Amino acid sequence: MSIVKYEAAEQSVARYKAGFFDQSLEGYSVRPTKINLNPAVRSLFYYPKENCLLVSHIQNGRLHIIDLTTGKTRFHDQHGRTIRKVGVFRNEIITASWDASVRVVDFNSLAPRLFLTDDMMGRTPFFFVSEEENAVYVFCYDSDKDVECLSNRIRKWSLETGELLGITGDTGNHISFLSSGSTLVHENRLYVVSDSGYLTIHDPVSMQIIDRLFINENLRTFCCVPAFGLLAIADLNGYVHLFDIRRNCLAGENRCHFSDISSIKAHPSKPDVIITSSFDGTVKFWELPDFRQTVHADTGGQHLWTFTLKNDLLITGGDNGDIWVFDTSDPEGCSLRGIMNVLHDSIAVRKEGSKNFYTNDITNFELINDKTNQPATGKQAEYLLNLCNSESVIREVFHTDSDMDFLLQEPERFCLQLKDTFS
Amino acid sequence: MNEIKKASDYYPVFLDLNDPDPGSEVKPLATLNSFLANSAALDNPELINMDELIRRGIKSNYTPFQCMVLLVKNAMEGHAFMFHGLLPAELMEKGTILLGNDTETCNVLPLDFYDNFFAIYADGIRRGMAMIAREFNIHEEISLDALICFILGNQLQKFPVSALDIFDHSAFFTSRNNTPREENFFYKISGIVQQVIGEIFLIETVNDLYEAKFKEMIHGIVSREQVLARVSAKLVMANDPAIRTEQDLEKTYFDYIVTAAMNPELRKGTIRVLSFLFNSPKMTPPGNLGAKIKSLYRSISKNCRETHTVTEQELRHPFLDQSFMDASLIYNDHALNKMDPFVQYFSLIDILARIVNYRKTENLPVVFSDFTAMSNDSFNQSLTDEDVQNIKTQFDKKVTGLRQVNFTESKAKHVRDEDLGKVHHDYLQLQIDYLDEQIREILAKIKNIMYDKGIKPSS
Repeated sequence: MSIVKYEAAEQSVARYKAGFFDQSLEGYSVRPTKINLNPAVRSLFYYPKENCLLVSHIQNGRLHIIDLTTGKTRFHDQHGRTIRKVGVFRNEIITASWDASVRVVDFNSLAPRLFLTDDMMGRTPFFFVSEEENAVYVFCYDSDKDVECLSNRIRKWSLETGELLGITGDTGNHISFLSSGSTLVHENRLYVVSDSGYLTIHDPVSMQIIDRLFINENLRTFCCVPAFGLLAIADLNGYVHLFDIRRNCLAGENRCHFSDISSIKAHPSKPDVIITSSFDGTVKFWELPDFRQTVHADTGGQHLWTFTLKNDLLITGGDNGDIWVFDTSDPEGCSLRGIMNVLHDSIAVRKEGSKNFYTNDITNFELINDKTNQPATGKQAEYLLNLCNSESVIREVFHTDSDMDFLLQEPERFCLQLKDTFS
Repeated sequence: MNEIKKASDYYPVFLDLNDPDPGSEVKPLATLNSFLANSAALDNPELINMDELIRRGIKSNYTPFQCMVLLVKNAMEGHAFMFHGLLPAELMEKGTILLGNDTETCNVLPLDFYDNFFAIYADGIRRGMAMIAREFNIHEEISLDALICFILGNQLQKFPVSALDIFDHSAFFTSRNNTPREENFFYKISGIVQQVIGEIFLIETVNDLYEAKFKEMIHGIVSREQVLARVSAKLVMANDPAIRTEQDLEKTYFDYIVTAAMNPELRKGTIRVLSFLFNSPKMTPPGNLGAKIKSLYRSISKNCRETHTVTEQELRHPFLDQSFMDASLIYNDHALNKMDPFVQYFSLIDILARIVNYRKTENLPVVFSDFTAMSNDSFNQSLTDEDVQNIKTQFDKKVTGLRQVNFTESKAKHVRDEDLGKVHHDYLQLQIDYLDEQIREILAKIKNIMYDKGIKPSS
């Protein structure tokens, strides 16, 4: 009984702090100042081991590495142009870029280890690590450089030595001016889809073609759904085509979006679910084999390029630079947790339905006087704006039940009054 | 409450050279005050020149190794003066962790010195070592790399040189020495940990400054929060149908307060910042580091003997008492991962240095019997370069986290910026008023509930 009463007492302290914070901010609202300067987000990758989010952009070659526990942000500028895909493998960051190269750098030190390219290599939108985990398959738009090349090429590089182990261009000729495609390896087969309209199947060692299937669509990307032995192949018209690996034939299709599907992935913990993102601004979860839609996350028409998952959190990125964080755990529908913006040298995280935010550059926000709709100035405004800036916001927005977060422990004596309203 | 006198983590060369009886196990003091009263060194920004330093070191019966440490300390003092404008006496007062004016950054002097060492000071030290070799008839070459890594890595520069007579210069002969890679590796680990200790010092200093500046307001808020929590609990009790009378309520309330006070599950304790770095489950330290930690702890214990034997009501040396408690806290905490034993080890060295320096300046005997605990042997055994990098990353993450849970940046702003501090003060007062209002409302509710219960006939 006394413990229950004690909890009630603890809650009363938390309640008064929240109440005092609201009272202090009454008549003011908080507005971001530089969000229109956001570079568009091209690729997102969540790295669970370090609880970090990796973000690349369309307008520049910078890769941001954001610690979701502390908010600390690092970056590397080793690519001159857009990093099209990023991933982490064995504590090394692998990036494929429009500068026609793939780089491998150490996650902690960012020290470069491998630089994979050759004279004829075009833009590289995609890579896939081999099943033996000793090589990486790289999808390249070689027709950018080689005028006689009419198809996309796949290169295989050793992840140990950086040696080029093989190359194939037998992926079918382009059927449009829009280059696209992707590759993956499953059960000792290398699969490739591209804007040729072909799904081609290769030997992953020799890279010789074994079989191919003409789907006659501008194919963009695909993923494997091992639970059903399927490849889910997305095209530029919003369709997902299912390819039955065992029967070696198409097994159905479904129109999932009204616009280009930009990314498709199998759910990491739900084997019967695939996830699609689209230029129509939505991300949808589909239960196979019936394509039953279970989650619908809407970013309000944002041109979505990418998404990643942190347990039940869906993190999306697109053309306007907003990184939306949705909680998909609620069966009634996903809810928006907050929005992150990654600027060139700083980050800003806004918590949905709150005046609290987190930024490592306070000039990313301003305090607005609700009566005048003008920015408030002076020391009091500066103080209140600082009050709204809380590191705990990034943890609250990105928190999931599985987080092992020592920061949630009791803070030290005499923690800053007012400020710990949010902790 | 009287403020505890703190001891410096640095013992300057001028006191080393005034140590009247170096070389014996139990040493009397050299007085800082007598030096300050009659000191040419403070007027001489070039500090002590090398020839003079070596001459006086030899005259003081220091060993070759001790003379070499004097050289390194003297160069570091020169560095502190040139780059940070600090004279040795000021360095002794402020310590080797130098806080920036913004109170948000800190500079760990030995690391700063090491970064510049080979570019600026190495040639001079080599010449000094050659002089020492001539004076002591040493014919073998001594590795400067190994020596500097050993001294700064083990933080020997913090101690009185007279305490270092057990070390043998022959361990640093080029012919016998470890490879430079191993020496640098050892120093890297030590440097990383020293930076962490520096960051923790900054966090604790900002906490202290904040507490000093807003002490009354904070105490006012904390005490009112406790009252609010208690009256909130009392409100829950008042709503309990089983409680019918004022006496029932007071008895239950009293029981609750006693239970909460007795039950550690319900009680919030004061947690020293450093303790955040240690968590269970226990991990065995690499190599013989565990034995070294134990040995250092014993050495601290011996040098805090007054703490164990005090009989007067008032402690004569509260600094020693506090230091021993800090050391015990660190020593008894469990290490969670590879990096924690290193923090324990270097934190204990830091505490030992302060204790020894305190004893020297307070004219208390010093015992150095366990100094053999220090060496670089332990650090080459089980860590790879990748481990070092991971340790650095993990430390970085933890220090960032510590700054966050302690609101160091915000506190520093309120401490540094007078205007912002005044606004903060005003808001703290508003918060107190707000709390008072909340408490009054709850008390009124309790009164009404009990009044209602009182007027209802019992069934």
